[in-house]
Amino acid sequence: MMEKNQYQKFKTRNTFTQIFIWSFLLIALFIFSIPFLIMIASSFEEFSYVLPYPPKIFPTSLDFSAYTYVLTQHNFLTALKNSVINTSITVVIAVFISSLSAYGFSRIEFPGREVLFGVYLFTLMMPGFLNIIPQFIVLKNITFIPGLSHGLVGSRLGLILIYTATSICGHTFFLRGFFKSVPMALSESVVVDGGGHFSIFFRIILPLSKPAIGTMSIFALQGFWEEYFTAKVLVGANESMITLPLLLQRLNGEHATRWEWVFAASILALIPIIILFMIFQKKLVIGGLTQGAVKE
Amino acid sequence: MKRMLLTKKRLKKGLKGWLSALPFILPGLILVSVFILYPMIFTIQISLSDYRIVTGEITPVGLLNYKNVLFETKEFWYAYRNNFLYAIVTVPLIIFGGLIFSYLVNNLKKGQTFFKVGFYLPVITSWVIVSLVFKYMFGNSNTGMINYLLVDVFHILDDYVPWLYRQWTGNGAIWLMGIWKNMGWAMLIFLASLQGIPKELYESASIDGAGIWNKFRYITISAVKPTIYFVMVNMIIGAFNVFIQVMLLTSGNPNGTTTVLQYLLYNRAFSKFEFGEASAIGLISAVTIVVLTIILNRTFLLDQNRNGE
Amino acid sequence: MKKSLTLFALVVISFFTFVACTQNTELTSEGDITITFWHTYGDSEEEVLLNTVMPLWNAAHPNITVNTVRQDGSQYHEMIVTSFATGNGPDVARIDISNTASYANQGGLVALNTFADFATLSATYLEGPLSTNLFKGNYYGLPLDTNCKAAVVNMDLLESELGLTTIPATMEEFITAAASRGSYSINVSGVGDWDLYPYFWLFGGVLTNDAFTQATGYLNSQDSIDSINKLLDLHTQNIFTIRDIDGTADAWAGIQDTYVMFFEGPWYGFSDNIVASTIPTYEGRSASVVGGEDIAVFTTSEHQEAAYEFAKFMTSEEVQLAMLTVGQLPILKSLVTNAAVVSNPKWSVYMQQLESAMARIPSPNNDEIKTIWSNAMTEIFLNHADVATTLNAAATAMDAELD
Repeated sequence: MMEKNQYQKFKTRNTFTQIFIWSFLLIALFIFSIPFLIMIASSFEEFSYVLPYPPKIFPTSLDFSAYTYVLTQHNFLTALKNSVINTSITVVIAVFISSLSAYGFSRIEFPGREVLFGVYLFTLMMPGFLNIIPQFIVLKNITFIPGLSHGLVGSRLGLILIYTATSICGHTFFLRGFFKSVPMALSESVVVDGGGHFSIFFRIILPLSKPAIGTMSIFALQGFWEEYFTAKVLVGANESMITLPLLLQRLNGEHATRWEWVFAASILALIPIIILFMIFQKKLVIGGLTQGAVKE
Repeated sequence: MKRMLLTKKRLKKGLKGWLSALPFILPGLILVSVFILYPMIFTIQISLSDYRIVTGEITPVGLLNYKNVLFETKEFWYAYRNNFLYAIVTVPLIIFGGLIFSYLVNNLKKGQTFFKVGFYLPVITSWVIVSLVFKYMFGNSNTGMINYLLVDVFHILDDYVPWLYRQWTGNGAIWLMGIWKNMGWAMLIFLASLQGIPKELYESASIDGAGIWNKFRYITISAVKPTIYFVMVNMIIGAFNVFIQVMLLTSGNPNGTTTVLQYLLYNRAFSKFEFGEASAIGLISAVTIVVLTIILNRTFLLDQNRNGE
Repeated sequence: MKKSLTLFALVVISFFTFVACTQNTELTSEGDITITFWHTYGDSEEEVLLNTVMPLWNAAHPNITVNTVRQDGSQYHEMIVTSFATGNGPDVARIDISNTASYANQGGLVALNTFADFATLSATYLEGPLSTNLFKGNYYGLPLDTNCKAAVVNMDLLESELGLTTIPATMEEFITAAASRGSYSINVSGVGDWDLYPYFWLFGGVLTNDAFTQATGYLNSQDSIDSINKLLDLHTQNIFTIRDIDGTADAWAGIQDTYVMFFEGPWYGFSDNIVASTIPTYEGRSASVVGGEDIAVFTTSEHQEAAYEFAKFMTSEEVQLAMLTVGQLPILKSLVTNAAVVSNPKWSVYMQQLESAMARIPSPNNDEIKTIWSNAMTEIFLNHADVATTLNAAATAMDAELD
């Protein structure tokens, strides 16, 4: 055991280091957050089409008019509602289907598995912009659902399908590594008890992979929440389906941008996702994250 | 006779494998085939054709689109160069910054969550919002935050700088935004990795007489190496997919010197009706990423093998 | 195994039920048609559209519902191109006159001269705006509104900085007064065609021959070179600034306290102090650039007749007068001498300016031509490239686009 003096020295040095690290990080975080501070400060100002001078980091007045304006815009709440619904549904479905897919690619042997997986990987390298046109045409031709004249174009389902489809390859890749790292012994024990792949999947793999799936869900959620281009093409013409990114972009004009509205709207759009992140970040994977993902 | 039995057995085994796998991979496979693979094949086909968008006519023209893209204008080469530069500048800084901050945060007794959320904020903010803020920050004359600080407050410069209208300051702003936005993500990933290193490793190393630097070098860095690779590959793929910042900050100006492949693609297709050329750009982009990933893979695996990992 | 399968099935069924419930089913009764109209009107214009114009339409055509969709102006062209590719466009849309030819070239617009009443209808339109719809012998749209750039002048600054109490009739006067000021008096936003053409033409530049088929010999003529040199001169003398090149403040902001004059369309928010005026003449002539919008019917529309009806409606006198109140200058011959137009100080300025305003090059390759121009201007103003060489190269490049 350490002598009392040595222990005191050790403790102070430790506290001293802690304070040092804290201060350093705090300053770094402040500098890092300047853009956010600017946003917040500016959202409380009244600009009238002209950029504020001098530019502010800290709000000098607390004028909520920008916020009230944005909230009473008849489509802000619609956009918020749509973004929330689209994102939540898509995350659930995408994660579910991707988990199934990753299981198939990691724990079931079938001929051509590696080739097919290679194809999945290749699609990740290809820029997705041009996919929108054929995707659109496919959606347009799905006309068997009653009540829709343009196929699935401009509909929530169409958007969800495309978002889900786009995320599958990446998620399968991510999860496959994890699933592979679960020891075979565990799944064998389920087989011995008379269970099949579904049992292994629901009883062993999913519970053990909760952190990984949780992490992946957060990344996915963020991606869907801020997606702009596909939403613009698919539902841009349908006002009732507008999403937050579309709304935000619309507030930005060439000469006449009301910056305080843009910033107020941006902050409002950020709040849900920050809350979600704060809730879920504790469950983020601890360790084992990359060993699994990298080992092929 | 024996051989026939063997192949039959293999067929049966293969079929059985497929039947077991099908319920799992089918939903994903259907969605991917319809919405990703089919469009990809379509794009490849278009890149070799002249595509009239309203009528939908597709006329094969061989490699004409590729020739036009690569040799007719300087734009493509600016874009290609800019993507590489983006990767070269932002990736090391993101990794370096992420490592340092994750190491520091990891050593905190209290307040880890606070800093985790704080540094991750840029990551969860949408590209559109961030681009608008940066556009405002890098604005012209005295209404841009940076100009205001440099000229009016700190008197470091005499004149206002038109940040977003010059090649290198424009590119710089784009790079800065990329680093700022992604560093939090790297930090979080490194943090998770660091927290996965068992404390016993450090303790036994201390007992063996290792100092701080050696512990850092042989335990921390080796454990983090695969993570570095993971972050690097992701960031490089991201570097070739840069789009929104360029569209909102500089629109590729001046004269296409800050443009990137995706923006060029978008422009060719949705502004100039040249879908064939746009598809060609897309394919060149994809092939580049694949080649890069393979090279990186080889380099890293070689590295790991050499060190006897 | 059974449990998981049931769970799976439940998920699938509930998914589809959910989806079916969230769709908006379109209710249509017999004879009722719904068409979509895309536009990029700003706030004030949209207000008039929704509150004044649409009620008139609904009264006259109760069985045709028009969904007006406001698109954001910055990506409008790309949106329309996308809609051509996906086949999911509007039935009728307000489009920029400079894009009409290229859209028609792609086969995306309906030739309206095939409708029986077109001949009589077109006779009521002003020549210039109508001609923007002409492509290969057919008219692919109706003129909807026209405009041009006029001078926006800050009267207070005119007096305090330049010592002039009235707006000078000639540019020469203005330049002399501004030369001694030392800081920028005129601002233009960028080097694009819409921004620079008025100045280019004002100082004597020429783009192409009358038939718009050749640029060599015109764009690179001595007159054009002189015109650009004049602009460079003004730039060096600190009289004339280009926002995108110099990084100076935007005109809309700067006119309040820095700039004395800039050129803008009738949509600018004028005040007592900041007024509209015709562009001062140079060497005896004024110049400006014609802008405006056409209204066109898309070939993907399933209700082309109804769409055409709406297009015609938007060009009717009642609607034109209503939209005039928010800065949309009318395109009807009958309204040129209308009291509402003539008595308004702002509109009369613009109507007068229209007389000396010229059109941009009408071509299906409009986008490429715009790029050639702005690239050349960037080379000249930003990179100090030689004017004659750059214009020569630009002229050759333009020729390729003009056949």
